Amino acid sequence: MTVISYTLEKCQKCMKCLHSCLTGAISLQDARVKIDSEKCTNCATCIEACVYQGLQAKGSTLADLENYQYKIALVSTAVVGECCTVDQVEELMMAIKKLGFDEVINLSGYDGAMYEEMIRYVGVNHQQTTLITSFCPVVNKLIEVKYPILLSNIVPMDNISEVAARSIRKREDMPKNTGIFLLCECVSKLTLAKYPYGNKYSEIDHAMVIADLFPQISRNLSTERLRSPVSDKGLYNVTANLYTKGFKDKNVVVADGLDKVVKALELAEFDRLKDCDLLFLSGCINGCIGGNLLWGNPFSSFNNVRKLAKKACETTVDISNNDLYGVVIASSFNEKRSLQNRLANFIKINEYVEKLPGFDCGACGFHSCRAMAEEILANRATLADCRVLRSNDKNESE
Amino acid sequence: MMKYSYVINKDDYINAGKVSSQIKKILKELNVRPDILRRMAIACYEAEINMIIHSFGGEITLVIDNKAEFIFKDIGPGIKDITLAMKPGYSTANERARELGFGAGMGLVNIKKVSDEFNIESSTKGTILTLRFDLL
Repeated sequence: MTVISYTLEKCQKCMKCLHSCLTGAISLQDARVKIDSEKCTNCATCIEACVYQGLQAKGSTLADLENYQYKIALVSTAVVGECCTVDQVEELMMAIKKLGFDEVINLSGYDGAMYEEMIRYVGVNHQQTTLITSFCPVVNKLIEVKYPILLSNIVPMDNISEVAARSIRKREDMPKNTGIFLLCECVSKLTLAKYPYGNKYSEIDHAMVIADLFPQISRNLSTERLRSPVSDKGLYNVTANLYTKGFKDKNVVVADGLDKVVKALELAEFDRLKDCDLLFLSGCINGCIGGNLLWGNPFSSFNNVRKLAKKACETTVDISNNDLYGVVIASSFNEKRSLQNRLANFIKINEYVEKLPGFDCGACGFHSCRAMAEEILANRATLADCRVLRSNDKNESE
Repeated sequence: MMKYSYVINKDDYINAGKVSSQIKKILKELNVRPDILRRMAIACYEAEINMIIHSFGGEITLVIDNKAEFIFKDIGPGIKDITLAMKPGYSTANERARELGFGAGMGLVNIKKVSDEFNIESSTKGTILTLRFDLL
């Protein structure tokens, strides 16, 4: 499931998105950008690469509030990281409430509970293997697509917003027709929502892009406050540079930003990180506080969080440990073809790969010569579609 | 049947693991089951590093048919006492290798543990390590 939408009129076919994609999910076919949702991790690298705003992630809008009688806003802990005092957080929460919500909950208390549970979990399970955190949906999907060896290393904790939504939905005093809205800091968290993205298992009804709401939020800001406790451990849970704080005698390695994540995963596949108990992996720089849908930046957010954490409270949300776990990755290994079939197919693909120039230039519309070879084998392209081969032929005939 | 061969140079620490990475990529493209792939990746990496640290250089060959077969063949100096080399913790790695974090003496033990078939022959002219993995 990808939440990234494409606008044909804006696209200049410059291929920057295609080259930026880590999993080769993007191709240009029939003069249109296509995103393969099975490979897309929703990391938003392509959105950043597109200078024409042809790719965008859209969330639900405030108009969607009208369909519900009682409206709850869940505010990602990373959003709290835009503030450096508790007063500012409470002013921000009030400004968000004024958008039309009946209740606003910042998720730091839930993040704090997850952080405490992670410390316990690592304490019990650290000797078996290098564990991997599961809070980043981009990393989970990346492992599923490119590093399946490591699927079993992921600590199966559910996404915190999902945990929170589930527990809130179970509240006894919950009014009928309650809508739960998640205010997201990153593109991948939009995928969790039911609308418009169709995740039917989610207890989150709508997900919104926090930056889209910023103009209204900023107009609503005043000295009026809404009480909203901030948990220090919750902040640690979303900040790469603070994450190791609670893990006293355990070796926790932090890799933030996709470049570092990939490096760590490559090493872990060879079991080269066995002296490391837990890998904190976050697709965004500095952790979730570096989310690309925030209005700030990962570096000043880190300064804010550091100040805020000193004034934050030590209590977390009271939630049973079992409720923190869930299914992180939907699919498991699924291969119906026989080994002989796969081998035969592979050999045929290689035959085409050897005929292609191997520059992975992308001019054919596919991200690599191998991807092109697969298309040729599937009769969706021919060797003549390779521009490099064509220009070589031309030069030779001249 | 598919066959791949790669040359390994003595003391080439900078490129250590590159051949294993290429092999890992091929195995992923073949969609080998993750638990088998994990064992193959670990074995291949350990054996490649062993070759770089201890041998005068050699060649890694991968043959995939009904099974996957790795052949790590080097040109010497050979393993003096294979029984001793198979003991956990025993290592002859030099200072330089240990400084770089290699040579904990678990290489051969680990390789044997993760392979389905393990065979090693050694003389002063060289060592041949053959590993087989069931792919089903």
